[in-house]
Amino acid sequence: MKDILAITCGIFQAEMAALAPRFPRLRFVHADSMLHMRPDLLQTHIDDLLAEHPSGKVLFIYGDCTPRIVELCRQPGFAKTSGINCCEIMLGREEYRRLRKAGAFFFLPEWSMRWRQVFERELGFAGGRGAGEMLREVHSHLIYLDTGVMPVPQALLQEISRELVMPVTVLPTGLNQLEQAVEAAQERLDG
Amino acid sequence: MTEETPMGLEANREALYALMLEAEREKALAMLLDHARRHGFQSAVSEVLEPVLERAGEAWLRENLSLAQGYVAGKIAEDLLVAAAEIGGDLKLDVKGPVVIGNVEDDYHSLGRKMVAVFLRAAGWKVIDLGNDVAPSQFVDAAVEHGARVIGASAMMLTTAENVRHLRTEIDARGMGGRVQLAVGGAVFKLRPDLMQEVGGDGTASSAIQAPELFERLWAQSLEAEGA
Repeated sequence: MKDILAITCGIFQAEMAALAPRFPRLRFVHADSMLHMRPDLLQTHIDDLLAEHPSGKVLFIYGDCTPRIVELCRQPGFAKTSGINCCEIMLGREEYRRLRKAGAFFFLPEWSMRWRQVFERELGFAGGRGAGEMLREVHSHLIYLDTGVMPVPQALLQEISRELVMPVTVLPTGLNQLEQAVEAAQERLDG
Repeated sequence: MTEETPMGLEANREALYALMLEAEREKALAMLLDHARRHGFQSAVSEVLEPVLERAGEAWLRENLSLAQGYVAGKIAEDLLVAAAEIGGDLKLDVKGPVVIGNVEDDYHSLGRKMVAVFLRAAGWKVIDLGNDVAPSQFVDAAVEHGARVIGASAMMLTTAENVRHLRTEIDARGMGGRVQLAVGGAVFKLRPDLMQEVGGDGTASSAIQAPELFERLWAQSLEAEGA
């Protein structure tokens, strides 16, 4: 019985499709991952989804991308995956913090495909000009998190590395941390 | 040095704003340096750069300015400050403050904080920047050490913004409430305006460009609180 609405960031769509057989109670609804860039619109979108599904349990497969998600999940009937953002969810708290402190900027598969949209359309760096400089103010290198759901886009990563003028490495993560995070959230929902 | 005519100043401001929108940093700096050569660095900052930054701040509020354009505005200000420091001249740096800023515990979103530091320095503030993931005691220790009346705490997410409460507690526990004013900022405070009071902040601004105005106000509040 699919009795839990799983509002899922589109950045995890392929990963959750792979994990879906392990979560038979989850009914997935995906939201465009680009809403991360517009937390006010993300909030409105979530409100609309909840209005469409006024009853039943809700699980967010999300970081703390908008205050609405965090605050809802302090109420009974709601839970979210632990982690301040999608990268922490994929890596786990300690590893994420270790790499972040070391200066990493992360790419997940879905956003890698849309990286120009992120930097040019959403952040406003026309032609990507200045984006690398801004990133290099606070980051020293790029890490592609290989979740295993698609072949590593080597040519694209080299293009990103070249244009942002930052070295890139590939870190295989698999889906274990994500699976555990969803499992733990589902347990909290039932608890 | 000569005085610029009002029309000349307005033309310079228009030109600088256009260059900022087009991310033409080098041309913007060249224009400001040309103005500084003729009228001094202080005029370049107070009569050209600051009005343009104010306009950019208003555009940000109306959501007519991208993050990239805000970033470029900060870099142009930083370029001018670096040039002024290298060349020397009449620009009054570090004449206000000092103030202490940092990202709260667990927060690593440093870009906004860095932009706040640039805009504060351009406005004459001496800024002690403690960096990312700053514990409440570190903030307050630094404020005591440097005699700062304002602490600026930055956080991007709700969960990290809630760590500001610990900083509020630390300030109050040391009996420094009122004398040390707490400025809070970051994306989540724009999204949830009531959060500033919830976590114990004394004031906030909706963009880095507006930070100097906020710090002026809080500094005055500190003086008032101590005088009362």
